[in-house]
Amino acid sequence: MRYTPLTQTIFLDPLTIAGDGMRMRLVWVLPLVLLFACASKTSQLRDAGPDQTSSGSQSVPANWDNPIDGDPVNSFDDGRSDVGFSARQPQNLGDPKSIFVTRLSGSQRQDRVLAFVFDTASYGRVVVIEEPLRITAAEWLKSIQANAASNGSSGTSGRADVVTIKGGVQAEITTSGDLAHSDIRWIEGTMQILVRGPTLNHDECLELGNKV
Amino acid sequence: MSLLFVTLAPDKAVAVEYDCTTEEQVFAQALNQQPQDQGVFVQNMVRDTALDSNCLPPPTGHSLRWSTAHMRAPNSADWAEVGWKSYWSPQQTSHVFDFFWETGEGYLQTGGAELAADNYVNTWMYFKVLNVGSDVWKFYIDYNRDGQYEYIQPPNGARVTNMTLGWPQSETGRRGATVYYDHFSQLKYKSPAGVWYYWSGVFDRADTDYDYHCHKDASTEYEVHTPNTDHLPGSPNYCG
Repeated sequence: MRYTPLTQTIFLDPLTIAGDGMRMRLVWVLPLVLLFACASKTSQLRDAGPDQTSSGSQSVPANWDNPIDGDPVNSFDDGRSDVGFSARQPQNLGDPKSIFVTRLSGSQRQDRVLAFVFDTASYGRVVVIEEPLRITAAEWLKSIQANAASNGSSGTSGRADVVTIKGGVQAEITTSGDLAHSDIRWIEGTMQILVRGPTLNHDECLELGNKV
Repeated sequence: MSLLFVTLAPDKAVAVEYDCTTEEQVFAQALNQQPQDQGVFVQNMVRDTALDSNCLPPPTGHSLRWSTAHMRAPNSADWAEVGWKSYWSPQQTSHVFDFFWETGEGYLQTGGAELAADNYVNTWMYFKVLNVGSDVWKFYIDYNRDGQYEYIQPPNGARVTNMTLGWPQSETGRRGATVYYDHFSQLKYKSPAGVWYYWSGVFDRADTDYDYHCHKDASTEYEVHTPNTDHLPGSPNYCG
């Protein structure tokens, strides 16, 4: 059903082409036409029902060599000085292959993100992204709990699980619908840490959450 | 799986395999923009949408083509988008069109409140993704560009944990050998100060498609179509 723009008569500027008698009627009719036009537009949009046709988009395909499309930095100390939160060096993954910070040109220090790229024997490529916590810790926890509660509901693909790491830290593991890919995120102070990789599964993410 | 034969020379033809489950996408991004904006606006017109007849209709299949206004978080793992898509009817006799919104948090994807649409091929439409405070996003469509935006979202918006800002982007995607000529214009982003600005240029953020590429028409306008040389570096139509 294609929308027919009822407001088209208004665009013809009827007040300038109508006589006095017609003008009086239009004063009353015009609001009604506008009202009907609004209602008519809304009625064109019909609930398409449960989302079985999700685009399934993975957003921009991940670039595991430069996961934040950032500028390379030479060391953790260099990167740390470019961001506005208290970054820390990831543990138990060896030396990073590379470190990136959100491109410096045009970005604000408080918005920047730090990313570490590791090649590990146990997990393959692992990316650790540290970014400022932009909401309260309470909001963060509420959000990941809501995600977990939505598992299996209409319109949702993949899943979220709230897990406990490091002896008491709440974390979120998200997993793709085919269970092939997972990542894990948690907060430390004023920072969110996100660990991802091209081949990581749920259990590996749980391990990494405890050791990184 | 479907096949498309691409003729490279009169005596040579190469069969290119198309997978009905794998996505091919062209993402454009506001040139020189960093991930700190609050929203994105696009005017979009799909030029053609010939769906791959070898790809099954839902629920066993997927949507076969889509265009979106898209915000991408600084961590690159999270996102929020609104747009429209098409796929086969159950008997595969006609195309079905829906407006949709979708968010991604890592590998969790959430969407819903889809709205059935008409066939708006060759019709300009508006799509807008907007942060409304904290990590809550709202999605709007205006399919006849009369300024009356339809809000297709639960009343409280969609939350993407810790995503309060991002890169302004637009997306064209397909599955299978679906044809998807696409056109974006009037591209705008909402700055950290809450002001809408036109993109200063079009940057080809990611292109996973074998056949289709970004061709810049102007700093706020580009098309997605099959290749010729004008999408390559050095061309005035290069997106980058």
